[in-house]
Amino acid sequence: MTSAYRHTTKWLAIAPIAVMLTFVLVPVLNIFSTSLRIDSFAILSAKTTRNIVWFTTWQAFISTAIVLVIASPIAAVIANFKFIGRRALISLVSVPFILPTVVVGAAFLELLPRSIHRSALAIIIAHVYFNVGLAVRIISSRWQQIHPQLDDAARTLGASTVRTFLTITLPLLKKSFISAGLLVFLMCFTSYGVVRILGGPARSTIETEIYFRAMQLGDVSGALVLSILQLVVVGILIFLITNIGKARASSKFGQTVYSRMHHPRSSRQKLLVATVAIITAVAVVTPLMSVLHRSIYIGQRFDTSAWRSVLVDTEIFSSLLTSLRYAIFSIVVSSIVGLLGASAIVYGSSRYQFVNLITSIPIVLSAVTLGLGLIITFDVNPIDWRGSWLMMPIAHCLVAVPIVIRIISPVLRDLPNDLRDASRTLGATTWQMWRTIDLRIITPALITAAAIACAISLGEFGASSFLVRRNNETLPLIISRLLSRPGDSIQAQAYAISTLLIVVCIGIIAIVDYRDSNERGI
Amino acid sequence: MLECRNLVVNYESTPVLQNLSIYIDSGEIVALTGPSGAGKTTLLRCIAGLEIINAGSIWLNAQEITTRPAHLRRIGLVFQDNQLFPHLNVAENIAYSLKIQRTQQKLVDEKVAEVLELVGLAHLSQREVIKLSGGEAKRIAVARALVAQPEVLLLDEPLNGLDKELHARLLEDLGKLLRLRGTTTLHVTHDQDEAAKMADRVLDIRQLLS
Amino acid sequence: MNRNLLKKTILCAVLLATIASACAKDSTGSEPSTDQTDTSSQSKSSDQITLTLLAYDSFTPSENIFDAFTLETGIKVEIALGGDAGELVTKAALTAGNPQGDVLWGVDNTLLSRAIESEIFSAYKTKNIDDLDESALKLISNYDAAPVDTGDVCINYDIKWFADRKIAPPLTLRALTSASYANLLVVPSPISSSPGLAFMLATIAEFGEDGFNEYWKQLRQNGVLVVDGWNEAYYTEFSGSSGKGERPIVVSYGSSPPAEMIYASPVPATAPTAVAALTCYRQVEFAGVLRGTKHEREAQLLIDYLTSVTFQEDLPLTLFVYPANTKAKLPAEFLKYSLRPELPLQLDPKLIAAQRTVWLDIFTNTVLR
Repeated sequence: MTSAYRHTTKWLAIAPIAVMLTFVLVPVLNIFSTSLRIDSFAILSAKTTRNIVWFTTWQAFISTAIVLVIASPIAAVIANFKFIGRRALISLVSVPFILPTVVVGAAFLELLPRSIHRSALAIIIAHVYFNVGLAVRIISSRWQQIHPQLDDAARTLGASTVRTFLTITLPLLKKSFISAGLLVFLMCFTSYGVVRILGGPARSTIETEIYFRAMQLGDVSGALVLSILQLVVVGILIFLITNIGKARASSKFGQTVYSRMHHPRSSRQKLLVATVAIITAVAVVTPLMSVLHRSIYIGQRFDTSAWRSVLVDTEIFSSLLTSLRYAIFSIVVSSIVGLLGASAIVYGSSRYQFVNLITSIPIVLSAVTLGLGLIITFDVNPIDWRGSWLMMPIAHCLVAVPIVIRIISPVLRDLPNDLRDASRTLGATTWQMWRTIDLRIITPALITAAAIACAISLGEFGASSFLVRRNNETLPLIISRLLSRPGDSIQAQAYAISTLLIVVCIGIIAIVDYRDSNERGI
Repeated sequence: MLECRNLVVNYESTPVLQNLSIYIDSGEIVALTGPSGAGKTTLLRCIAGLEIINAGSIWLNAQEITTRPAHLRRIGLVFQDNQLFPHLNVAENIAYSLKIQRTQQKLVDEKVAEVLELVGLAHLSQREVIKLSGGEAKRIAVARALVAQPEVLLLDEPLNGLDKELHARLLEDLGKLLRLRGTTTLHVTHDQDEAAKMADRVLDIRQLLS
Repeated sequence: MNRNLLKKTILCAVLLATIASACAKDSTGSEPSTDQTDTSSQSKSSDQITLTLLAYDSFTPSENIFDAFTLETGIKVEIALGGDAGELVTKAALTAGNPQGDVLWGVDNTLLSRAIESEIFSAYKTKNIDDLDESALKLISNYDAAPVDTGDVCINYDIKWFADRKIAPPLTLRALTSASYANLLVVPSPISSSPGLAFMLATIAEFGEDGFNEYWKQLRQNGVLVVDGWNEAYYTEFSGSSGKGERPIVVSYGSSPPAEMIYASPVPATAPTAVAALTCYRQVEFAGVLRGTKHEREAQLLIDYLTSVTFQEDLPLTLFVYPANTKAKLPAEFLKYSLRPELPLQLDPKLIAAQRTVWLDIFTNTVLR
């Protein structure tokens, strides 16, 4: 099928391709060509490397398995029952996913008993905390699309509730389980902050090892070899995710959300809903509360001085402004570039699938490799931007654009071409058609994407910490700096700022979900 | 009047329309029948400008419009499954073409009210389109096409899937409405009975190929 | 249709440009000193020069400490933070010859050889050279960089913990392997922490390249806890700090006791922690002119200032290090509580450079796996 915008595709693709070429591909090729030495490939056969790959894989695998097990009952309750606070529960489980790792890491250090600090268990617990919301969202939204009469049909054919679930519901949910699982696996596989903060020195993942090699040992070449290794593994995963995502998107438009939800009827259902909702809420909120607790208790005494100094400190205030400014930059730029990218991928012929590929690179690549590439690439006039304030919001956008594209493109792909044809027979030009049909229909997705871009920018730590900073620290950077400084009152300030960030993140999720429920009437 | 001369359409290398010619006079209602897969919908899409033609030409009022883009043809198309815009309500769907022409809001409101009255659904103007019944949605789709004042109206199986009673009533209403307005109409259907009741002239697509 | 396309493209371009310029305006508006004078885009007139001083994240001198320098020379100084010392050196090595700043602060003796081999510095003999610590100067040939401060990484212990239990605190590295100190020691990892690395080097200096592996084996058997960074070791796991840790022995600095005294509220009557003098490893930090700077002369003036008495006297109470300039006076409270070992442990920077990776591998396999 040819798209109504096929002639436009090459124009649409220009901006995203230019951005990715300039800020990702060229820098990365540059660092590889200048610093990679063939003899470094020897580290692939080293025992240490094998251990690291093994640890990275199994911790990600176990984290993913636990996430899916925990997400299932939550998704079931959300997809099948109406109850007070249902929307709040959906929002709440998503909050951890957009919280800055610095904040969550600090919260878990505070919360977990000392005996499991610096263990694989601590890493896995934090990974589960981060990703359950992601899995719940993917699985429950698919679950809602299963027609309730399918269950009824199975029941009339003599299947018990359990058999109905096993023979009807589960097979229909299989794809969403796989795509949620792959996505979570990817997040855990490439996790950096959590591993650094909670894993201790004995627990290295490929991502942290890349950092240690390049930065602490000065072995940039070895780090690059490891980042190739990671690229290959993660690339395969991304390929799988994209293909499963496509299979799902090819089903019919408008994936109706059926009114399979009903108020819990039996006392057993009521108990189930109440138990799942309460346990989930407590599990999400407890670590956040411990952050708040640290900000108002200094050395076991109740003390609001940290909050008072945070609220009057000009340095912290200016970094709040910096964070907000970068967030706005990231919202605007990554929405536009992401929208154009998604359009090129969806409207264009199969030739434009490389846009999909090229915009995936920032997810696949370790931040260290990208950062080093940027440093040695933007080093000559007139583009010696290494010390420029621009680099940091650009880095935020590079992280955000692939996600924006992945939020927008399925919606755009699901839009039936006949709607566009209808618009044209009613006299709309190509531009009018795009504006009144495509743009209007993807607006909710675009708002979600913008909110996620905002959250990414507010919480981004890896790439930001890597860039040279002069008077332009963002909140996560200042949190991390304060956390590493002596003194209980300074630590409390870090927790106070973390609390602020948590509140902002909850606000963002609330806005997105509120709009979402208005638009689709779920 | 509308005329297609020797149209050829191939999808990749499969022929869909082979050398088709058809002529419709001004104000005439022509029904086109034929088995499914014979290319009826493709013909409508060609006339509307939504399909690429491999050979042949299309004429409207003695002007060739073969290469004219769809939005400039002034040919209305009522899709088989309506294709009402899900993000707009009933009134906004009908007003769509007027908004595209940057018509004054006052005039838009008048015309929308007028055409809603005509299809007998004035009370539904603010309704969400996903909440319409099958018959209501069809009437709105026709109203949306008519409000643009097309030179030719193309109907693609407009009464498909409606129950018997509704089918009969809508068929009658539609016939009256189109005759009242003198709209040149090409009505595609696989139902011989429907074709006979509605049209001035009934053609079988297989006769048009040469 | 083409016109519409064009319109769309132009619209997007204009939008982007507007945003970019709006942000730029905003940024320069609120922080006038930040953007206008980048290292690359200045050099109009010599009295308007701003130097960029690259430093590690924990570089926190007094806020207005460079005002005197600006007043004297007309040169402004802007601090750009770039991660920890290791990150700084890696980045400087990659950009050697076309640096991200003009002066680099904070290469210590464990990283020095890597910095010098990568030729990141442009040699300069500061005019304060005669006042600088002689033993520190010995570490460097060719005046590639100037020593700016020294400190000692030592075993610290919680005085009260040992007094309460009537156990003698450990005074040597060897003592740490004895059963009476089992499960009491916490150290930052040498892989990710510079004091951690210094401590590992101390054990190598003490027990030799052949003996340190065996020593760490014994430490491991004795229940040593290795954590990611110094901050975590000192503030989370150590019992003598303001944290609520459980371990009374920690690898920290010789200047940690004064820091405990000066920044505590309320100030305790006696120092809560003490230092085991025989376990100290001397850390020396250097600053140098980055090769390829467009302001070589001005950068040299800044090196002079960094090594001057004015700047050096600011260091003890802000960075908790000893000035490298021997003429600088130390604050009384600093002198009172800190410990300066007579004969700190040290290793040749060249040996460190050659063996670092090997040693770290040995350490990783012995202690972490």
